[in-house]
Amino acid sequence: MKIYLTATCAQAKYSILYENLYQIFSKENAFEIIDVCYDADCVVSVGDITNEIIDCKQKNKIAVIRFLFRSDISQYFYTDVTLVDYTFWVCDLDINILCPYQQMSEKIAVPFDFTLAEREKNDNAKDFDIYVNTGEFLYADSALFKILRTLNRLTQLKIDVCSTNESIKHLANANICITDSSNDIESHVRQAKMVIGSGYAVLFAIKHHKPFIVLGERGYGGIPTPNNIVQFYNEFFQGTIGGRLDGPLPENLVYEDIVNILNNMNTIDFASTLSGYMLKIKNRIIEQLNFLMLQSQIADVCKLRFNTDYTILQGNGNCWLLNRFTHFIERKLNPDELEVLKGYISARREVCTFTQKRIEKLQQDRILITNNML
Amino acid sequence: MVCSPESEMVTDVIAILRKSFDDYSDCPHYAIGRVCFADEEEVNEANFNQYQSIPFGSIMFEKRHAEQIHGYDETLSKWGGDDNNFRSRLDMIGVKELYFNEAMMAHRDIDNQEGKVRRGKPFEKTPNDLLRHFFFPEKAIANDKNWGTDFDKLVYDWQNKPASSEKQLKKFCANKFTDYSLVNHFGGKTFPVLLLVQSYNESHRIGQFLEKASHMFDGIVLLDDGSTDNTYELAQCDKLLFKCKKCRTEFNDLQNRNLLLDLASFVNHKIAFFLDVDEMLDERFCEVYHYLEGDEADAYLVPYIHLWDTPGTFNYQYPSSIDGVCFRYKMIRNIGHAQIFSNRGRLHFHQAPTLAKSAIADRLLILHYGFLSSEDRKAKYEFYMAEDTEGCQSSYEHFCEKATPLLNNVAEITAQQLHQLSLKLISK
Repeated sequence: MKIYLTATCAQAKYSILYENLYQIFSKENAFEIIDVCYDADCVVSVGDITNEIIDCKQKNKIAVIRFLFRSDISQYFYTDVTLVDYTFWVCDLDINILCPYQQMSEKIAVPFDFTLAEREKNDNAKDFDIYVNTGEFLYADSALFKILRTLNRLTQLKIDVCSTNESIKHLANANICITDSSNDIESHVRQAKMVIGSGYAVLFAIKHHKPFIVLGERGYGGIPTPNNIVQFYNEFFQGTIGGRLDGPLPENLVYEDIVNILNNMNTIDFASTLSGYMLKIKNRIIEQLNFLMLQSQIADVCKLRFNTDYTILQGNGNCWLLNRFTHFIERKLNPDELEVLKGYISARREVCTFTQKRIEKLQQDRILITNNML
Repeated sequence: MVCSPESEMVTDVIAILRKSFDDYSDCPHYAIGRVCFADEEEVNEANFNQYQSIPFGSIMFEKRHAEQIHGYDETLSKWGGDDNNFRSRLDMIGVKELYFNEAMMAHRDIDNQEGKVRRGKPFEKTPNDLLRHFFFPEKAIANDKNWGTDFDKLVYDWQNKPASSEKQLKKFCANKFTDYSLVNHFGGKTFPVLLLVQSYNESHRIGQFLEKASHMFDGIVLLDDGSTDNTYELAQCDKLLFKCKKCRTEFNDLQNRNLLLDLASFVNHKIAFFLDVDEMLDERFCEVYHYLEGDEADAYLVPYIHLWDTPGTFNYQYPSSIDGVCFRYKMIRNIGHAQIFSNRGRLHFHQAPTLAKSAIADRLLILHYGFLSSEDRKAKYEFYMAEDTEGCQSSYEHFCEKATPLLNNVAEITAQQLHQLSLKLISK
């Protein structure tokens, strides 16, 4: 099957996500990654869909899948479900906003490929002792501020800090180098002996076998162990497992962790520990892709069901289709459509006797969806 | 809910936190309030904010969530930090904190100098490893895999008492009664429906009563209230398990019934039924076994009529009745040792423990023979007038010699009528 995999967002996190999804798909024999959208059986958009994808979808009726970060959910709150078949919400900062398209989306842990390229295996360049990337955006540099005093105490160490905040430079000792490395996290990780931070900084630390301390948007996480690494992974190493935003960050514990790591640079091979979990994430993505591609080819009316993201209300003598979560009116339903939907909602056998065309239209509009979508 | 014993609830913390589990039932959470520290001074809702307060002080959580993380960490043996650790581990499994500003507790540090010092700077001297344990535990699940099984070994099952319960009964009776007799071995056996009877100078009725009752019940326990005739000696039948005779100082119905409940607690049974010697179940309405299964009710009101002048007629105008049918607590399910509590004196009270789940046993009907003849009524009237020194009941005139109520035929009472009456009572 031909997959058109494209990164449609310029942000660094989407670029990293694209790279990792490329690695995942390219290792699947059944998939062929192609460069032309119109020749594809399925479009995978890392970021929101583009006009090219919309045009392709309308002309070729192919399956379109999106990968978006949960932290961006407010930007993509409304979705034209006729143009996107499925959305994977990648859990970076899993903020508590409900996606109103539950039947056509799911949350997924960040897909990541820990495989080291040959050229990366003998990487001894260590320009810095510590790379700090707390990766905060809701409480910008909050965690960084909380540990700055601790970092200033470590005058014997060269510390590379990722921040766009110019004023921090005035608060930091000379041994601390502050730059915006958010577009080049991996190379900064490679150049350091250890990593303090969250999100991709930690994932690259695992990939490159560097010791690390988790702290970020959800406060202090400490040094993970094989017992809790999967939970940390699920929360994208944002700080305390299950912690709250801008959570507590005791600097004495961070200092103790740094000293412990510097005294013992042995690292745990978390990449191996996480391999089983990575396989599960990969299999889930591939399973859903295969299902959507198959579904776009075959429409079995008997396997359809009413999309429970919606509800039908009567008012002003008409019937209206509403989103259950937003309470927005999607559209007015005509009597024919209503008759078809009633059949599906009540699961009467006569649903299959309606004209194929009517049902196909409702399926295109995602008012009817395939039974085993989840 | 968990809170420290030094704490006092300034607001209705239990209700406030409990409500959150209805209001946010779809959101797995634990609810917390806040606590202020005070000495002996009065703390109320209005002045609460003048005191130093912190979140927590009380926590309410669902049992299933506590079980999921294996409860409080049992490796913590010293005071403090256990609650922080518990909350952190609930957070780790996605059970989130819900804070209620209005749930206010006052923590009293009376004569506790150490507590007063500590309240200002908690955890100041706590070592790092303990801080990690309290606030950043490695795993959500504490304790070992055998957690929660410490009390799985059953040493004594009150619902299936062993044969040794006879020995326990003898010990109990030796201290309580002037005479007792184990008539039938009951230890280790079960008697689904157990009759509890008290008697006092009923030699003319006791034989017939026990004979009739033995067809309706699996076992009978008899307490004789110090009869001066030979009631105690005459009390014999094949269903009688044991009988006891107490020393009578006065007529204390409450004490007698509670003693019967004490005695019943030595016998394995499902349902206990109270009948006095001058009462009997109507043979048409005696399906006690119908109530054995199910647990929709634990205490039953049983329809009850006072036979008047002849065994075929009853007082149709008895006070507090519906067309002559009274409803008396007479039957309870055995949900453990129970007692009757009364603030209405020793003579008139609910005749069985009024347990939380009550219902009407409309398939039963008790016939009361105590008022059958005018002589009986006169004797009862004089008895109660003499005994009721506390004024437990305002009047006994309804069964005095002059009382001439309308009568109705017992035979006219139908199952449908009893059912209708019970519905009428419930709807009231």
